[in-house]
Amino acid sequence: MLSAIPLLIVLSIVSFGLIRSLPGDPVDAMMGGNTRDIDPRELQAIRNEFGLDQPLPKQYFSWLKGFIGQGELGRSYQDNRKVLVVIGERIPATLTLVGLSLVLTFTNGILWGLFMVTVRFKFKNALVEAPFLTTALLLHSVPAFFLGLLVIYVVTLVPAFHVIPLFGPLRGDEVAIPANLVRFAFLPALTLALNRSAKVALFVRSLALDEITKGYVTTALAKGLSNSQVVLRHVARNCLVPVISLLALSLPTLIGGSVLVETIFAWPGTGRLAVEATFGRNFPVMTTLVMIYGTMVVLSNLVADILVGLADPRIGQNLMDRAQQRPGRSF
Amino acid sequence: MTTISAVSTNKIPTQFWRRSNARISIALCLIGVLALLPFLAPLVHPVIPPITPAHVNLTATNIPPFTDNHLLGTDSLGRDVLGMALWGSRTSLALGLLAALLAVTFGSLWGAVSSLVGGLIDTVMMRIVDGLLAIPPLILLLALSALVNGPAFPETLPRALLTLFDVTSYSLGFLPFVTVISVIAATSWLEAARVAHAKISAIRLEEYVEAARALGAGTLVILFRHLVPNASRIIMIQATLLISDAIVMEAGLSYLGIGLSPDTPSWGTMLRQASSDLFLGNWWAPLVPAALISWTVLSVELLGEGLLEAIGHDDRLR
Repeated sequence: MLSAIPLLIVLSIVSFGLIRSLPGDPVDAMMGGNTRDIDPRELQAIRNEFGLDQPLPKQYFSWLKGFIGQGELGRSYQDNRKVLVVIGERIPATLTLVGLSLVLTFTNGILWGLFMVTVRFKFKNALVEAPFLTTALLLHSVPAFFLGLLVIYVVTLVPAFHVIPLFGPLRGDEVAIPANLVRFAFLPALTLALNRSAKVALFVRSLALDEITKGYVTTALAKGLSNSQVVLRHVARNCLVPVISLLALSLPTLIGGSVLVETIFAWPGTGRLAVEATFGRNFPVMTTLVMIYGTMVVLSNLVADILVGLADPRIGQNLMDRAQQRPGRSF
Repeated sequence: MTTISAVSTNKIPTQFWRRSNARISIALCLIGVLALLPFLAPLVHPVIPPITPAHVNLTATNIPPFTDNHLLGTDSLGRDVLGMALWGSRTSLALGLLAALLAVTFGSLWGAVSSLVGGLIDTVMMRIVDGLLAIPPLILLLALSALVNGPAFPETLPRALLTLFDVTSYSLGFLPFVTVISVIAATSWLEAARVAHAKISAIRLEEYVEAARALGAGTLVILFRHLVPNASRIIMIQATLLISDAIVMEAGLSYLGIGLSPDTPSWGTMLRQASSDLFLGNWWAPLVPAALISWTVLSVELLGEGLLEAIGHDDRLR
């Protein structure tokens, strides 16, 4: 658990390094690449103001000191507001989106996976299961942003779906009601979840198929339980632990996917902010976002570690080590 | 192979072999079809310069599939979808292969060196990998793209490099292709580094390595004669899986408008252009590149998983 602290320090160095690995001059990025037209003395003054004329390690420590001391991580190049304020106003939207899609991903994915296993177990015939498996494989391999466009296309075509809002909240007062926010988040969250839940379903299916060969399943069947009872009561419970660690691993994937999905659905979250910061070469915002996302991922890995330990005390560090090896594809 | 599975009555190994073998052979068939596409491009859709595969023809927009001259129809700019898809397969597949190769070479070198040097340097090197792995890949990808997408970026490169990539004052030439590959590789070398580090650390202590050392072999000889061949299987599989990741990443970057330039045919740029065509009722233009990307992802993942299963490595948490 203590390994999280050096990880966070490395993270801060890496994200700070991103500003400075900018080819050329940060001031040039601030001015939108028009430094040739500006008086060199003024450029020097800006450099002085942002402390850019100091040596690199010194800049890093004063940046870190600013964060620990005053909770400030610099100012946005775009409007000179505090970076944390700029990001802070986007966070509720992204948390709603990612939270909702996490819930949708796992309810949908686990149920779907168990359903496929039950069908296969019951009919003893791969052909009955095939349509569900093929759908899962297809959904898993389609790029998330194309899925988003398809979702929009389908919703616009079918009149019954017109009650679902297509795009994010347009007016400020619409966001104030939490139920409204969830309503607006539904389509983007569904898009994110569809892609990932196919992965979860395939994962649950492959775990459960391994479990089914074990002795306790035969015992349960001999006891007179039905096929679906065995899957739901015994097999599902034994698949729980790896699914929990997949839950933690899904977070970076969902956050990454949210960048594209927020862009498609005009969702006012941090993902879109990241895209805007990329285009505007707004490095303080980018750096802080990298830092925040990284911290979230480190923390979620910690939480998963604890949850896995609670769910099955026999598993120590082992599973988590394995789990960290693969952060998964992000879109 | 059929004789083995017919003779063997031992249930579990047979099932195991059948499952991974079936996956690998299906995947190889799917990949075989994909591999033909770049070669079909000049045969099916020949282009004579100055006309390019992305040739715009505003007199023939949104033509539905299965009409004369346009087997898969045209998009809203009148570009032939089949021709674009075939020529685009060259860009997309080359990009995927090169990015995966670059990422795996760098990553496994990083992991191997770290493991071999050991001590404090090992800790620092692997902590850097851990720290970067904590950042969601697409965010890292965006941050890196921000670095190379500025107007001042080409000016910071040496002149020789600019001539090599065909950069002129009015065109970026191959530069976007090179930067997209580098950015994708810079995001995805981390897993390769971890896998190589774990594998090399495990086999470094084996008796045969010790025996080689006792016989007087140097570190480099041990690395290239003993460690690399033994770690190569898992690293090759890693590379395979990275190909599809890279193609999907390119599509995502192109969709956001920070990937390849729109006149370079690739599945990603096609999808970006065609995604707005969807709302003009043109479903075939986005469907073709999306299907090809899914095809690649599916076949590559089947192959990777089949191979991992065949060598007895559990990697389902991906």
